[in-house]
Amino acid sequence: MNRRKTFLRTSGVAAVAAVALLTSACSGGSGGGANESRPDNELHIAVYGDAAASAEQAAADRFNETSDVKVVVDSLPGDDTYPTAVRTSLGTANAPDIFMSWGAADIQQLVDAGAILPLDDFIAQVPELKSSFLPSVFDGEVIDGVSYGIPMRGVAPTFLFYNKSVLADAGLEPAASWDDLVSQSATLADSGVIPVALAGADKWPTQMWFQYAFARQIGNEQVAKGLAGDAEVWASDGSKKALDDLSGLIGDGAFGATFDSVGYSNQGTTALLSQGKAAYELMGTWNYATLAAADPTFAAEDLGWIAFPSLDGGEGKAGEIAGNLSNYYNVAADTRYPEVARDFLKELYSDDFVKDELALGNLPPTVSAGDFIAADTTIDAQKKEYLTFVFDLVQNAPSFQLSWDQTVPTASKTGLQDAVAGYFNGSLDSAAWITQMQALTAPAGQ
Amino acid sequence: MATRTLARPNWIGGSFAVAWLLIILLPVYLMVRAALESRAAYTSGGPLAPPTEFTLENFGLSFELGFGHYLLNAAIITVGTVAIVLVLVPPLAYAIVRSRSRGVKTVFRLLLIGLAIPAQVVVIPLYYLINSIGLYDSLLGVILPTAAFVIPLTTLILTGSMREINNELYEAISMDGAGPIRTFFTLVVPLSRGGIATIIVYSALNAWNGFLLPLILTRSPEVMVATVGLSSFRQQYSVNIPGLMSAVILTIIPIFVVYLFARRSLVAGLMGVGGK
Amino acid sequence: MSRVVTREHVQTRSAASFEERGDIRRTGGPRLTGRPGFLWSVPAVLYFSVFALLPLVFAVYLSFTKYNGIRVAPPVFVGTANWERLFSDPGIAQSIGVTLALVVLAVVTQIPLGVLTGVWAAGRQRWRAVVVALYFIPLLMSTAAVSVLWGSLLDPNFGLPAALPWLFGDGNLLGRQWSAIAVIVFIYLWGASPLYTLIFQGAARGIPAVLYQAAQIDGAGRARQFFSITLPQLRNTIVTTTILIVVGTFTAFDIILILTRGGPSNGTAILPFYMYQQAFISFDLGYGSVIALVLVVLCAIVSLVMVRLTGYDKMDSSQEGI
Repeated sequence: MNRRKTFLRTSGVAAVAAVALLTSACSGGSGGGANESRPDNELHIAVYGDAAASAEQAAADRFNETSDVKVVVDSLPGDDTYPTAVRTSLGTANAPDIFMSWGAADIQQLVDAGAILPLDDFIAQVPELKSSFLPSVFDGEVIDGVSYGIPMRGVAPTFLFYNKSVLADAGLEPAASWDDLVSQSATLADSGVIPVALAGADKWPTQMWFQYAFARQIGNEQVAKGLAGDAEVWASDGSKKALDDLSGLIGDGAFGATFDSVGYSNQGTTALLSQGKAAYELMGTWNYATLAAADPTFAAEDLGWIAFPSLDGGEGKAGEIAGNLSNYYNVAADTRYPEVARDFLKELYSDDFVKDELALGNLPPTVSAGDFIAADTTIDAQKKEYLTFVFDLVQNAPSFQLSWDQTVPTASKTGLQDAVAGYFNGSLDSAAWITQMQALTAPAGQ
Repeated sequence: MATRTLARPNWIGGSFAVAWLLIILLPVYLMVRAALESRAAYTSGGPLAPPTEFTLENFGLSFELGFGHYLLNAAIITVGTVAIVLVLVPPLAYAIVRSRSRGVKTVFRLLLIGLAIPAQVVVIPLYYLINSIGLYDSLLGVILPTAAFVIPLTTLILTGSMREINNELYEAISMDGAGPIRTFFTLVVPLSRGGIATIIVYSALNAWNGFLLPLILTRSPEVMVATVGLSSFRQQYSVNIPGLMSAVILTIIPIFVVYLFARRSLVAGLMGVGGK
Repeated sequence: MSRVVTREHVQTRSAASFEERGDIRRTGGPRLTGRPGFLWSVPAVLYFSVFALLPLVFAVYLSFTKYNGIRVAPPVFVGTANWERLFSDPGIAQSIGVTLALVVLAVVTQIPLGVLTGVWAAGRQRWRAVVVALYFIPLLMSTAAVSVLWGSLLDPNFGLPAALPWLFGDGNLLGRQWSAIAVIVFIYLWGASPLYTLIFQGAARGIPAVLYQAAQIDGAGRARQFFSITLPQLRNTIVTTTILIVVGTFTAFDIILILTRGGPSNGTAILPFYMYQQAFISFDLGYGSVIALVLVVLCAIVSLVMVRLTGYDKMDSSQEGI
């Protein structure tokens, strides 16, 4: 007994000490002011380390030619773990000065914590930091009138990709309306083709169908209200109609029977479309690069794209789009060299950076991108046509609906993906789905 | 032992083993084929198709991205982890098996709790800890916690193997007047080499395949490991499958070669993990 | 920092006092000479405490706070709110159920396969050695690659289901809970069994040949030899391996993360996956820590029961007293 007591006492002391140590480490940094423990004459950028990071590396190299304070590129793996790595380090001497984010909902908690720098002073000093970008995209990280992020990488609306041969063989023209889509689905399914390729295993592609069904039926403005917590939006007649539209398509076999087992990252839908086993796919801008890499011949000869069809009688405005706005670069609140950070951000609208992004197949959210596409002689005609299409789509859209899982608070993100997948596989009916959405978007608290 | 090679060939066992081998090799085949094809050829063929192309460009890309260096880092982390485990675990297992101290019993229960600490839960405090002792962004900073997380299981394995040592041997050696230190080195360690071989394999595999700890505890390319470097083949929404597979093959080859050379002694060592 | 020193100091002191008492006992009889004292376990215990238990203690603390992982916004104490949420969360019960099912299925598939392939591999023919060497490869493949490869192979339109419809039906393997679990169990089996093949191979070779010779003289066939000699002789190895499998299945979720994302309808959302979602996608580290602790406790209970049932926890050599 005695020894057990000793042990308990020992572990008790250890536990208290542990918590004390770690919490003090935890509350270490404070929000404002330069952190002098950061490295001398270095500005660290946490690059989202995927295949598109080369443009940011090149920007850093250009910047370092003239700067005394050197930009150091730290490549974090480009996957789900990136935000964790950033959050964990902010406030320590090893934190990045500049890091990437995905829009207002993504940075809200960082803003609340005072961990990122408001950029309004920078913009007052260098107005181009704001004026160089498409306003609809730049506003994606303006919170309560304060700007926090500078757009970078590509703007990525979603729209329909299709296989020209498959449609031609079935005697069809690309769908111009939702009704077209429904009737074509029947025709295509009869001829043994999956009308629409859907990577249901990944869940987020499923969400794209909701975004357009709702955009067309009730309009982006209402969707935004709903996502901001207006429960009535989800229970409205328009919302129920949109759900019926979707279940109609699902019931008609528009997505085939096995979409729950098809993935995007293992090229499941890529192969369906490129090998003519499916006619359409609703995907983001990046899909062109994916298809072109996976099957260049198909991309050059048989790949077509159109804006998402309109809906007769829907309340959405013509030309409204949905998808991912862009990525943004943010600055840590305690950066040691704010002026250097400001100057580096100027690279994000530089000619070289825009060209590099275009070469990667990204459409930079800069006002100048359209002219660059037209003037660039290094990209081939088809790619030029494609990029112009995307640029015009964004430019002419009355509004841009940001992907739902990037709009709701982070705590609701996975619940939202589960809800859309659940409706598609039949485990949630429309009433249950509406209740779920109301709970997931409910304001305040979790 | 000679009897294991029975006169009659074991047809049932043989066919079963070969069938399982085919299942084992199916993804391996796909991996090798993908790595040796262009992205276009890989997609058009589908996963079950025969190879249609041969190119080394994927491997070239992998080396260009620095995988040679990443592999070296992974090797250092693996060796370091195994070394720490070998220093700490055998004495602990010996104490658990032979000590009469009640404290050791408590230690054993403590280890059972530690068995299932998922690294994900503790990465954040670990980050603070490694940061505060100045080891952030260093290989040592990855080695230390990696070794800690394999201690419970490796101890359990080794305890199992040490328990098999016959008590008479202990009595004999203590009659000789041997203290715990001599007993440990001349009796316990040689007789539990099966368990030791197992814990080497187990901790090496863990260190080599580790992802989360190096991810959170490092940031410079100089200390990046191969598992983390694999993300260079991803884009936000897609993967360059042939490129990824070529890099994975590069991570497999070195340790597979080591395994081939060490196999004989490994299996000999594994004789009697828990057995007699 | 000084607090840490204090803690170590306390622990070392208590270690010393254990040692002292051990010494007193030791004088009691000759049987006890040569036994290691508590001191032998101190380095490993200290090391493990600093790098694993200390962070775990922090997780216990976090479970009583609201924290979103941002270091400059310290955790806020919220009492037992997160723990209360545990009991009203319908996801938890389902998640525990799926986790336990997966653990049981992993054990009942991996042990038999490991024993069979291991015993077979114990034979000395050269071609067996080649086969066994190839068995090793899955252990070295990163989960990122494994998920992509099996995702492609199990694709309903291009993979095995399309080639073998009589076996896979419509091929919607990830669309139903039972088949999605079956897929996960199979991939675990594929990826983990090579280690167990290796362990059982070594163990089987360690079985004394005289036992088989005696059985042959008795006229026992191969099957009877397997059940009356091989299996009993492998008992301890089976226990060790079972613990390895249980712990591995309780903590791993990367394949689920990439392949099914917990779907369909959370049908494969095992506890560690659920914890990961809460802590690192939703950034609710308070609740994530609660789930993690449930996981730690659950796994400790299962290990403890297993260790008890099998007599594995006897401190002394199993030979002692025979």
